[in-house]
Amino acid sequence: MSYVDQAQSSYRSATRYIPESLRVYLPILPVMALVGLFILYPIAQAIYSSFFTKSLLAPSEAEFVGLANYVEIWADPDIHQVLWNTFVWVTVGSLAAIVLGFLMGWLLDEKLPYTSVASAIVLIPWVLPRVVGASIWQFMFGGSQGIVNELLVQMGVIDEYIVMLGANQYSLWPPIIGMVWRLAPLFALLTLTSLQGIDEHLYEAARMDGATPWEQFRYITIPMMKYNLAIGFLLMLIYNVRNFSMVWVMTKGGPGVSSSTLPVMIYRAAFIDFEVGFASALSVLLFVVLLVFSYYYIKFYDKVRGDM
Amino acid sequence: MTHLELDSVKKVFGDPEKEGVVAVNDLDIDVPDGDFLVLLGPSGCGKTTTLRMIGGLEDPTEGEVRFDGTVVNDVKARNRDVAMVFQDFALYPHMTVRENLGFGLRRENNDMTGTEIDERVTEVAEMLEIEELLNNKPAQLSGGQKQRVALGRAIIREPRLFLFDEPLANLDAKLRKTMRTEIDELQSEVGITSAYVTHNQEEAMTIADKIAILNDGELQQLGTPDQVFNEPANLFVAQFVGSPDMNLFQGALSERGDSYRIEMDAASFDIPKRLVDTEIDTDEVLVGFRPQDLYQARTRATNGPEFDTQVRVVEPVGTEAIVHGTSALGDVTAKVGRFHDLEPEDQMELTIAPEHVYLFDPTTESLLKGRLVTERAEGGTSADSVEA
Repeated sequence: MSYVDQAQSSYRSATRYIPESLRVYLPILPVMALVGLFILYPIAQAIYSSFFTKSLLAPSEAEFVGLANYVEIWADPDIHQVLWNTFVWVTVGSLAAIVLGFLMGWLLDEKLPYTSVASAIVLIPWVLPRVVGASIWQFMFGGSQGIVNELLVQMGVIDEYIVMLGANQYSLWPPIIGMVWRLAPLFALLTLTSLQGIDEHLYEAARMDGATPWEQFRYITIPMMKYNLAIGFLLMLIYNVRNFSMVWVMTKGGPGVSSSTLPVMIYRAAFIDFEVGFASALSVLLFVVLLVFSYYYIKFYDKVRGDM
Repeated sequence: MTHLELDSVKKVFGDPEKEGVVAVNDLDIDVPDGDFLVLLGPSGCGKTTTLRMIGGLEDPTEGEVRFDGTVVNDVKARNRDVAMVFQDFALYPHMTVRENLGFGLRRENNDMTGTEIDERVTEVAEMLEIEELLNNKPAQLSGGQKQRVALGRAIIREPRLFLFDEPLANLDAKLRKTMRTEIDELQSEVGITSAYVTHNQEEAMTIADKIAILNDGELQQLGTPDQVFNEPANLFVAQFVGSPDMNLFQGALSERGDSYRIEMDAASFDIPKRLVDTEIDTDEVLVGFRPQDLYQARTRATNGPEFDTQVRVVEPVGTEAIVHGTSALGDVTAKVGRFHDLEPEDQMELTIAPEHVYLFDPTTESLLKGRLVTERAEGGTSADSVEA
């Protein structure tokens, strides 16, 4: 009798008083408990809370209001600015991170000197604690001593220092730049690994078939990488949608809501205005957006695994 | 249709000034139009590097690669109009068979329209009997089918040269034999000059017009399959070509009138000088017997040595058997008929005709006397009898 058989029979005898239909779930019970406690329960709680007005100062005085919080979101004067900012973050930020990350990954794949050292260095922005990275950027963009201002003056782009983090018309962009700096290395690594996964013989076969370097890129590299790139793209979207620390550390979403995104608005509603119900409704909104992205992420992931 | 020449080609990997690795050294090969050249040698002998230099995937460090007299060293692979079949087939995994076949045609700057390309693809697919696979992806194909697609991708462009890099190594034994024949037939049919890399000497012997045998980056011999088998330039070629391996024994050589006298530990015999083309001035020789040339003395008499052998193992291969035995000369392998009554521990007497004996110089390892093919040997014997 093999060890597997032995284990099976001793499991059966130990669980002989439990019905067969339940017995099969017993081994995954611990994981199910953890998932339920730390993932499903908070989600359910957030959805439940979104139907109440509830202040963090007096949680016991919650009052059921139905969909009023959602109506309030729509009526909120700031929501359109915040949603627009979030949209800009997700599109501009993700695209910039992808283009930059792709170029970095491409360069790292070339057999240049010191590429192994470079690929380790490139990862620093990604492994650095978020608040540390954000603080560095806040320092660089901030006030009168910021190095960005100094550089722009020296390059002749501007004549004198300008207020960036504290000005409505600029404040959205520095955190996006910081986020691109943080995410591009991740995409570079994704690019690098998928480039290295392409069989060198395919390029040789294409060369023998008369393909120019551009045609090799167009007909071999891109098609071979497309699923990895798509997954990377979705990851970038998800990271950007739910980013909080970069904005909060650099601008706190201000001035006003000029640089606020959805997560920042949620934080403000919950922990500054103490409106738990309203914050929960916003969270549910964010949750739905993320759910859509996650759905495509998982779908692509399955497709990639199916193709391999 | 291309006349391929390699002229003093050398390839050094790494820094040639410092510790570069010489992969190919001073290689001269001439392949006439329409010929089938096989580059044969053990792993790491430089045969694949040579093929890649012909294709333009590697640049020679020194020397010239010429197509029809034109130096192509600086012509990029994509402009050489050469097709290559890879060991792992290197089919484009994201394209269907149809797209794989048409890829090269679409890259070439010719005037073919999409419809013409489609027609050509269908034509080639029919030729290779893969027309029902045209819409499949490579992952859905068996090894043999992938091989056919890879061949089709090479043929479809009607290139100047075909290059094959161990194309049969990933197939099972039975398929390997069928595909070998198919490649041979296909090449004769289209008549395109071909270079084929393999480490399998049997494959090389059956498929080649000319075989180039390489070892450690150096050309050992360039010749027809007959030449490399019967007149191997040196000991390396003699041992690499032919299966089972050649038996080799030490011997002493002395001149005795019209003959050379060969004396070995337990046998001695004469080789008439007219069977030897070279002037031999050494008194030590290596004596080589191919297992196929050894006979049981009870079945065939020769003028050569006879020696007792104790049978260790009998490996039947159809009408003949490979017999491993221990003789007074040393271990010996023979391929003999009439083996059904042979069993381990049995004694048998082996013999070989002097015209089939190989002699090598033990220091330079170069050939002193090769194997005379039967016609000449028999002609010699009959002349001998007339003289007598």
